[in-house]
Amino acid sequence: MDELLAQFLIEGPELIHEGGEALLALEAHPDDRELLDSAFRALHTLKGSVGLFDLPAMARVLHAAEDALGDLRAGRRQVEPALISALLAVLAQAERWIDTLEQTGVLPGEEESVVSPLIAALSGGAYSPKAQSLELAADWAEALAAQAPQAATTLVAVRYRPDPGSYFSGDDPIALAKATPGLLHLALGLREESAEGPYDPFVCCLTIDLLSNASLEEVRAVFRFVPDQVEILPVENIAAPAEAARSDGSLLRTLRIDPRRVETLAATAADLVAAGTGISALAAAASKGADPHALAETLGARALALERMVGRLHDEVMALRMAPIAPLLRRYRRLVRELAASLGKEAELIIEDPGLEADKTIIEGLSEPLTHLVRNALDHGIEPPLGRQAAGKPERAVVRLTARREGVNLVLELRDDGRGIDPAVIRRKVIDEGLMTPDSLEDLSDTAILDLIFLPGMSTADAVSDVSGRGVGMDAVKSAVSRFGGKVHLSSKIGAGTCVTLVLPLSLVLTKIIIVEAGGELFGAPLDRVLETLKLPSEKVSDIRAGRAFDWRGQTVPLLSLSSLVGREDKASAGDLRILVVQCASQIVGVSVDAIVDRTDVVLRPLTGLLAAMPGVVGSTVLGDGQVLMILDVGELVG
Amino acid sequence: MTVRLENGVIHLEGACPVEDAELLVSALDINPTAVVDLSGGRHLHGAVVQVLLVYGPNLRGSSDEPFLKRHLTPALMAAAARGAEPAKALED
Repeated sequence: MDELLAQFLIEGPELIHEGGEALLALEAHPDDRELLDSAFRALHTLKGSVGLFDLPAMARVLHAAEDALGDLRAGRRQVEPALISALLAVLAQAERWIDTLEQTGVLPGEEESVVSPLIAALSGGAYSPKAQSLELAADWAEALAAQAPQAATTLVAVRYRPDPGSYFSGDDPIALAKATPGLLHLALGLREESAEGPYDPFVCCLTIDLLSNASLEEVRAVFRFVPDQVEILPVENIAAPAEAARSDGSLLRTLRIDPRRVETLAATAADLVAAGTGISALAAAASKGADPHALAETLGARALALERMVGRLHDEVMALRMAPIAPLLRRYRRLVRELAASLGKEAELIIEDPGLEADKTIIEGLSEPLTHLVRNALDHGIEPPLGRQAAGKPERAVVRLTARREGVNLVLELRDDGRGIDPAVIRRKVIDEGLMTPDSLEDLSDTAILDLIFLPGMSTADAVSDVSGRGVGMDAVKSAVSRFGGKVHLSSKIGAGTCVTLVLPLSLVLTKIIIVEAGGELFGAPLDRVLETLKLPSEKVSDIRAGRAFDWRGQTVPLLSLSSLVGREDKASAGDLRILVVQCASQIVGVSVDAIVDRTDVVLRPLTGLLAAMPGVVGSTVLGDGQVLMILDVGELVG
Repeated sequence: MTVRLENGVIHLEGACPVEDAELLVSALDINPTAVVDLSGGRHLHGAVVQVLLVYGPNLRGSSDEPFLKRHLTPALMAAAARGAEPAKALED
């Protein structure tokens, strides 16, 4: 894929979110100039980026939206809900286009038909669209772009012809060039007329052309006082090497990282280099026969310092994978507004987030299930205004999206104050769909009945609507969440609302494991499955038919040997047994091992290739001494 | 003083303001073959840069100042390489 397009596909949605965010806030605070400016900036930048590609429809509609915001800024129009809705509709459409572009690389060609209504909505009917021509990069800008010294993405070309009187009016054209952010290339020249007549050093005849990889806005800001002397155009970098086309159409996954974190990393790396030098000095001293006692002392101190640094480095690298969840949550504010409008309902999303961070992979993976849940809440949960009135509720529904931290888990809760889910409806539905028999449902509590909503093929909607799909929903949510080792729980009260709770690990990276020895080999087991480690005299184990069992806190627990589970010879052990008490899917099992070696945090790597299908192994990790350790899924081994 | 003539070499030093353009012009008028040493410069005003473009003296040295080092000096060299002709290549 074209590198420029790839960049756009990353930045476009961000700008859309930024713009949508600002517009929503603007609706609540119509006089907030800053919000208006921020919405304008986002749309303007988006329009500028779109101009780099052959997307005339998108460019046209964004241009119209930018004009509308321009009118607001100039005081020609007032902030009103209809206009905000129209602007949000434009952003939503742009987002859909970008999605399509990302998936297929082209737009289907029906764009023009959706553009006119959008533009009409923006104008509120009384607006006659100006003939809008896209800013296309002129030849000079293209020629300049060819000078780009590196593979930059979006470039800005500037042709600056300072006024002859510039020096008199106190301008320094070179200072402006110097102030240009992201300057990549500078070319100087003289105007032609300068060759004639006696030379006057105070008449400016400089010509300045430059290229920058900063944003159009940033570059414009530098030249804002000389707008009549400068041309600033976005331009495609034709010198940039074309990114090898990715046949699967997938985008290069990029991590956006706070530069401060990179700086801390660099600082730690520098410390490590210094520590390395310190060790060399010690080695030199040792070879010269320094006092061994003093040497040992210094070595110990340096080793300690080194350990601290490595620990810090590790923490910092782990932190790189963490990102705030706020941007994810914020995007649902717009979704709620749009959905509510399209369903003829009134709803407000309240977000409660204490500024949590989570692994980026988890944040990305949450986007879809949360969208499902928000749609369900709006579509099925919240009643139409009349229904709410009849139920004695305020017409405006409140959907609350709460994030909190519980230990190592991230808990997300989506709570609506709608009609709730009637267990009787689910009961009927499950039977109608033939998913379960009436008999099997009889003994289930209402809470257990609610859990049936996660069965594949279940939907509580009475009719299929445009908003939520056709019976795919909650089971998709459940599978998306369990992919990360998360859980989903639903509670509901008829007439009072529904609450869906997602519990996810904050970090995918570190897994606590216990290292054990069995059959002469080391294995790891995730510690979260291990309830207890025991030292048990062998006489406490009783033989029950073919197997063995022991008493653990008053219950009889089967005892298995890890050696035989992994296909090793089980050494007949006299004396005390070492046992891991493990929680398997539905039961508790004791697993005897030869020795318990260590407990540690590891980076768990999932198995790939042929090994991926190996049963009973969740992954591998590399130990400090370079040894590869298999991490066992004891539950699967036992089952 | 930011324009200093010494042994046939014109040193541009520190931040050269707009007035230095006139000094530089007279220095170059007196000493047409002088080499201009940029190594002590921190900033050159547009008017000073323009004199260098118009007179096209031989340049030497490069300042440690990042903008001068990375952009301005190479651009002056490139303009000199195109000859004393006005920079038509980049005009319309």
